[in-house]
Amino acid sequence: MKKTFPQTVHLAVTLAALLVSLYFIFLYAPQESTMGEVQRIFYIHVSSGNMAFLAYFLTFFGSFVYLWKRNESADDFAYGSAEVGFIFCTCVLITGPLWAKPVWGIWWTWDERLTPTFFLWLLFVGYLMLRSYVIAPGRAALLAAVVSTLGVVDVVFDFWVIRMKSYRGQHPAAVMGGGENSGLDPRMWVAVFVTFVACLLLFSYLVRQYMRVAALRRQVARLRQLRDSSSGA
Amino acid sequence: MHTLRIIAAIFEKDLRVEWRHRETLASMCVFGLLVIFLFNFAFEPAGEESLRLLPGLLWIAFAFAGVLGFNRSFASERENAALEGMRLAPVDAGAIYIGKMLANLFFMAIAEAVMVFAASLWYNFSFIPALGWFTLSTFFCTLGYVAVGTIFAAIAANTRMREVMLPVLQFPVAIPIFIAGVEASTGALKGDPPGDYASWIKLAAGFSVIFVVLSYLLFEFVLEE
Amino acid sequence: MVNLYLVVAYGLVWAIFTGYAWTIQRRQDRLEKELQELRKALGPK
Repeated sequence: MKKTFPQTVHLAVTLAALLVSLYFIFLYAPQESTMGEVQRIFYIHVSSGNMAFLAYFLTFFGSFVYLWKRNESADDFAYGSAEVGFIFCTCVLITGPLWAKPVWGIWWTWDERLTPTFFLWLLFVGYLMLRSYVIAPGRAALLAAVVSTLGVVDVVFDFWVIRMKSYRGQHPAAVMGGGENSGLDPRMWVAVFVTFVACLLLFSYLVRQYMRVAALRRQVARLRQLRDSSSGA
Repeated sequence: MHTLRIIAAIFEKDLRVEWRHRETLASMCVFGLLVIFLFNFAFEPAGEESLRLLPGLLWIAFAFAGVLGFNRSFASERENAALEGMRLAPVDAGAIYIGKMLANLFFMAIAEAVMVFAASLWYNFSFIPALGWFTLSTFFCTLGYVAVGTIFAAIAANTRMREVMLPVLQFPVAIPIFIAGVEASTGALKGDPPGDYASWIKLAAGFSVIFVVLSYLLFEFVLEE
Repeated sequence: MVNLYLVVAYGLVWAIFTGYAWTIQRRQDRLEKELQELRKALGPK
């Protein structure tokens, strides 16, 4: 991996994709007729939202592999994607109200899309807090893997419950599902897609950076132990 | 057969410990009563209003009393390094989980009965007409709450500040149970036809079954060294 | 006309990610330096 696709190239591609996505968001996509400029928040908002849910699922996936194979880098991947996913989730919760205020006139509503996203954010917080507060560091990976498995099942229940509660839908419908009433210009779809790809690249770059930090940390710990044991003898 | 005996042994042990010290139940009940009591002064609900607020209030009291009890149930194991002993025992870790979970369920049921009784006295509200459906919905929601509470308490016992860690981990996961509990008991207490809120009870039952099975399977990793 | 909400939204998102990327890079650099020192200290043996 390292040789075939060096980190610097990864960073360069990510930055380029982000700049391209800015072009598509601000220049290529047409202005929405009723909401005006503000509507352009939509592109980053939707992409971060999808990334946040994807990241939680990937955290579960990494945890599952870790429980099965006890592969340390699977756990690093789980932790990294939780950290980056938490940031994406925070971005959704920031950009959402910034769009809702001028359009709906309110910052927040307990709607069927906002509510599960907020629950997801809480799940990320729980996972990350657990990882930094476990007393015996060797057990953190196992406990976190259990937590993320319980969490991913809970996300399914969250959607079920929220649907049953039948909140009135403030949120624009069928953002990813398409549909007749979504009324998106085809060029807007292109911009959504480009932004999502840029976000995927950003996510993969940051998770990879995190995995490198974790690997280095282990190496340092091992060498330290070696030094301490040799100086003690 | 063997597994059932282990479950029974753990359950009995927790009950016996509780009988000798009376720490968990006492703190759960007192704390729950305080919540209900303070709520009365915060909102002074009367008549129709208390019917609207009561299910939510009861579930807030249940939730906090539960966290207190679950924390105790593993804190006491840790204090005497009993968790290490359990880890070494050549038994199925899932059976230990089920035993602890049933003990917690038992304590929760008693504490909830006390809280419901107090609420009915202080708010002049009779639970008798809706008792059957109210009990059924509360049972399933409590089962789901205890199922996640027990495994998260075991996890939180491995952290610094476990008193804070438990609610931070547990509340987000238990959200579907809170909502189902409040919705179903509101329906039951209002005297709606059971068909209107049966789906909430089903949801709680589904949640309980899935999380009990999942925790049973995962508990091995929680105890693992 | 430039919309303030729009500017704030994109500005914050970019700032957050730049900040995170920077801290993770710093963590990496610090660990790498420590690794070098440890290697040097252990080298002769």
